[in-house]
Amino acid sequence: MSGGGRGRWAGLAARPLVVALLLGGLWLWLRGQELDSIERRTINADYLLRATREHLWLTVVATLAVAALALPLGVLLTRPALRRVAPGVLAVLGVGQAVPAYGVMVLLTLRFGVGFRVAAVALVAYSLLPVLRNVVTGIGQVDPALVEAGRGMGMSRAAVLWRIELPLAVPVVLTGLRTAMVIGAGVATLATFVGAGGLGDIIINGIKLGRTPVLVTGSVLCACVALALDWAGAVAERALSPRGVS
Amino acid sequence: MPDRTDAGRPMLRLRELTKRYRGQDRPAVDRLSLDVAAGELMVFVGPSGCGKTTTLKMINRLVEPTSGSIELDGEDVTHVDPNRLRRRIGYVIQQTGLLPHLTVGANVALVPRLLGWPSARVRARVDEMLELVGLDPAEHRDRYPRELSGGQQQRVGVARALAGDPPVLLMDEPFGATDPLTRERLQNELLRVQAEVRKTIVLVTHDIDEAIKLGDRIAVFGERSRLAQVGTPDEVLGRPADPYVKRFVGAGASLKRLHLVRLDAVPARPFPTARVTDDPALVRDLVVRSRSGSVLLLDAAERPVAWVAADDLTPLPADLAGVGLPATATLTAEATLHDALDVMLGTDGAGVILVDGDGRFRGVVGLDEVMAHVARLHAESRRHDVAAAAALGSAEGAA
Repeated sequence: MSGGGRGRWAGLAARPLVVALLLGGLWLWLRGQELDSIERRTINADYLLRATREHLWLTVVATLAVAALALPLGVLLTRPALRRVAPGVLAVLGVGQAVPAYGVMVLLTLRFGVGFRVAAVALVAYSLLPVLRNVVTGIGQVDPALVEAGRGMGMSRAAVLWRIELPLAVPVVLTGLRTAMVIGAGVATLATFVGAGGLGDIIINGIKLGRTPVLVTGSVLCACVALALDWAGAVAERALSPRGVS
Repeated sequence: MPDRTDAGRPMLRLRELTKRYRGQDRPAVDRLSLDVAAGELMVFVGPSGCGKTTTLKMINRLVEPTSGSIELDGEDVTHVDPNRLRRRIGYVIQQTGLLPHLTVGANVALVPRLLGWPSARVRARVDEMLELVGLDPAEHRDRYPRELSGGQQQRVGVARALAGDPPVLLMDEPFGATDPLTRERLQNELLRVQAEVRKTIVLVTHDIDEAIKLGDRIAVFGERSRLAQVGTPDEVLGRPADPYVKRFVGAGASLKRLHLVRLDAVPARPFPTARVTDDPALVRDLVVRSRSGSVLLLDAAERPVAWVAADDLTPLPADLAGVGLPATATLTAEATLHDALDVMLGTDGAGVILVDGDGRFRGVVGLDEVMAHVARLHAESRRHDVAAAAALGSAEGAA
């Protein structure tokens, strides 16, 4: 167990190192390139930082919104009164999951115009279901004997939820959120098509203008954002998972 | 068996308790009425599906009764707030139900915290409870449940159930998931703890042997919670109320009854003794004159040392140290006839030596004494059967 714990921390320490190596490599490679004026308009610190910030912001806001929606919804779907309808609700939401995020964005744009909010809503729609499913699974896998023991000791339903069901569901819920966030970081590149900026701008520019250094820069930064978010998620999992549970 | 109940005041009164589940035409529990006296350990025993667990869960209203009433210590609790009620009733389940993300100490502290005790009192209570169930608080308090063995976890479960000092304890197959050795240890532990705390306990089991061992009284459940018989273990074994109970008690009822008789119920027979320091020649005279042809040697503190027969004294040794057959088969008066029989069969069968708490010689119990007692039990049962048959006959005659 202590060995496993050490391995987990070692894995956590390696992630930022990989990001640093990627960024360092990109910088060295760009220094060796002769950048023309068009490329220089994109590849400069101000612009890159702004795009990265937009990208991160979009992903994080969407993930927080997903958490804010999926947690209460998942709790509701695991209450005795609604437990039986949970599979139906998940199936209906599963249809939404099958629609490509790009399609959702375009459809939303037709109705609400372009911008950050439309991109965020599309991202939320895209990752709500997997997270919700993990919340339902996470609470559902709590041993019914523990719930009965809690009730038998005189804990109210709310106390059983807060002190038994939710803490024990944390690892599964956080794993779902983390996965959704990392996938979201990739999907967020599509935000460029609805004028919401982000690293997608750089990648699309690189493709449209046929400038390889621009394309590579956008892609590597996007990968680094995903890796960094995944790392942050892993740290959160490690910190928030209840002790005493393997 | 000593009477553990105080004046029979019922701590629990179940009246016409009924549970009907929707979609089932027959009730799971049908108009069950039963009193459990304060300080009594009542065992519900019966095959699976007989409604014994449903009945248990109606007492703390994890299952709401369809009709009927429950009284706790003279108060009708059928309609009070179930959460408050449950904090007054300890609850132990088979799977222990320890919360894996809380330490042992935090688990035990759950009910006292729900009751709003000040934290210093909670801390003291946690340590007291862990000690009560035989776990060193300093060593176990801060560990997590999965770091303990199954038996230790079940002890923590009992400690947790007792922590709020409830007058009543409900135990649902508490030892069902443990191996036979651990189960026996935990059963003994429960009897020891119960002798100390004297709670009113209702324990559910499907194991008749467990029921006999633990129960002050046993409620034998038949189908749909029909109470086939309620009585002391001796009554259930010796006078089963009907063929169902007889079948359920099973074979070997006579042997099982020996579990219920303590050695002090049987007259120990005196036996010629001598001191290790006595003159060997005098001891030989004693051996020759004794009926059994042997003498028990005692040390200075009157503790049995060895059996000495005539063969051991020819030729006559200079002193008696190390002479004879070591007297190892000793039991105290708290042991049961079953233990005595076990020891006799395991040794040469001559008998067991009865000693007091300090190991001093009190007498000898042999096979004859045990058989005499068994014969007495049989005669008693027969008298009851005859009386019952006579009563039945006269009732039929009247009808």
